[in-house]
Amino acid sequence: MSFISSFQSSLERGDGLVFNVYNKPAKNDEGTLVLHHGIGSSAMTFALFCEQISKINPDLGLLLYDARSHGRTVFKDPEHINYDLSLDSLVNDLEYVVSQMVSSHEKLLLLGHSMGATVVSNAAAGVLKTQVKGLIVVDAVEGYANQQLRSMSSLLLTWPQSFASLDDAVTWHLTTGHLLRNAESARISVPACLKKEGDYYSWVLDLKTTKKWWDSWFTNLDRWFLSAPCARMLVLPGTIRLDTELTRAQMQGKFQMQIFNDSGHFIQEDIPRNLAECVSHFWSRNGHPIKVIPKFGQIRQ
Amino acid sequence: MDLETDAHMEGSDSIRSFDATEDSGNSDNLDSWLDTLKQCKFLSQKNVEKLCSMAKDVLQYEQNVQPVQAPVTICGDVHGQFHDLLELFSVGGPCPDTNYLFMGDYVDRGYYSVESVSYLVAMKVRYPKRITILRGNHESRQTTQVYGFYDECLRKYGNATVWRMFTDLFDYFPITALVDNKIFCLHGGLSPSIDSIDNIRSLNRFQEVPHDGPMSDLLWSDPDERSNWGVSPRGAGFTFGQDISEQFNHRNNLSLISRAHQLVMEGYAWSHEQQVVTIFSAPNYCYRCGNLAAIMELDEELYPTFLQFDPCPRANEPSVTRKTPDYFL
Repeated sequence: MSFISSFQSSLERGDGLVFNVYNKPAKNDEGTLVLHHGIGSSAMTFALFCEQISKINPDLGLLLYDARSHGRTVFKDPEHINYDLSLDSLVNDLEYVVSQMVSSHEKLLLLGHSMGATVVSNAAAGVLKTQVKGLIVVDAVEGYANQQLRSMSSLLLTWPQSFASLDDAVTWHLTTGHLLRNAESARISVPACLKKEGDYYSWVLDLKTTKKWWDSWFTNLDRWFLSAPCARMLVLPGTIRLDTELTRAQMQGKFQMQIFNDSGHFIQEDIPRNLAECVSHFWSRNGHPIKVIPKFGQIRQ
Repeated sequence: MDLETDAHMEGSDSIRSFDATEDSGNSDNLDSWLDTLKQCKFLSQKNVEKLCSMAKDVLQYEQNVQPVQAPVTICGDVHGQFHDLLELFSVGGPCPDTNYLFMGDYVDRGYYSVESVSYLVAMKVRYPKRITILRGNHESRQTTQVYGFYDECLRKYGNATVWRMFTDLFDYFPITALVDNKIFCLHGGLSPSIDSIDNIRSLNRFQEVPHDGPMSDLLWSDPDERSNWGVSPRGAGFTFGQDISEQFNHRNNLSLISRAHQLVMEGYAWSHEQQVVTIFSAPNYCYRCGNLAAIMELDEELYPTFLQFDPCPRANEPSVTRKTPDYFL
């Protein structure tokens, strides 16, 4: 049982989509951190991170869920499964879950990992912009992603179709697959991406079937991130990923950048404590009216 | 204050004799080091150690608000773009014939941080009255471990000793300068805890750049179109409006705040109705941003002339090799 499991619930929408949701309500007007995982992952990618940030900031609300076709989010009627993974659908899902779980007066901090960053950035610049006070993108950069996607098909061909056991799957993620570096996290997150089929464990989502959306998943990410009317932070596992647009904007002081050189792509899993400290510090700076009264002049609210 | 008076009284001839007497044991060394560096070759670890020790002797006596006399040419971020730094000196005129004031950020991002900072520090030791080098937010232990200088030192010297010697030296760099008591120069911008230049004089600058507080603000803040103070989007420092710049300049009898820290596409940019100027001296920043670089010449009357320049022509920069493709969905 991970920490976040005790906050699990189901949320059914009119079209038969049943979201697997984790919601820890905020206290004392601290606001809620809404998390969106990347494609092929699940809410469990944030399990250790949620535990850590709750230790640092117990009042902060948490809201996360498995996206459609991911984890334990399912269509009630197997005859009517909607396989649409377009950005629009994912943003609509986010808007729906937030509207059902959190009061419209509550301030929000959105965090998206990988393609989940496009979902939250689009929402922060659009449908949720009046509520969002902070936006955090974890390892997603438009230029770099589009470059990597060119070799994604051949990369996916090297992945196994199924695993003989969950242990095998965890080991593969930590070794051959080079996806995860933290065994404790892998033991929680990997099983959530797999389903049992006969004697084997296969992927909940076959990534090869999502290819038609790849080109659109990261397009405009930079623009939405930079135009969201709130405090912004970009968290990366190395400066090499910055594209021209973001290099320019960073050097103009338009957002905060945090680099963790000792992490892989799944920063929330590899170093959950460090990311939690960094997110918590970001929120204490930007989520609250400023506590320091400057000696001369007034502070803007 | 005596130091300041001495500096004001020295003409170019007496500078040369000053160098010949005060630096006699070292100027040969320094000139050969400068020659080496000019070819984009880095110094041996032993020589870096000597250089840093000599630089500490010079910099420890400089002030938090280092007085500088016009004419002087003021420069912004360099970020390890060594070939462009040489281009800067060819555009602005060689030092010591031209006086220079650099406003920080010599290291990180570019491929030649070691050569760039070694060169500027060697120039500082060789011509201490002719060149002033301030501290930028990248002249810190923490920032350089993330943005490249640390890795570059490891790559070039095989260990972290040179990185440690330089980052220890950065604690000695002055944090601001004042040209003829009228033009206030620093890397970032103003701080809500500092309303007069005298406040800066009372800071203890000999330390790692703190996470917050006045010293951090001076190295991190940015001017903004909105009035008053604001929380900086960078995560450190503040943003300050035109009203704040006006108050500060009026209270301290200044004509201009000159700062760097932000990429500006033309290499320089006025803000706050010419109360503040931003100067950025790394052309095509990070080898990709497509910006011009600029430096600001101030004549004896403090009249500014901006000189812009493109990246200097050169062989391709070393490309950082990338391993197998990453999963990125």
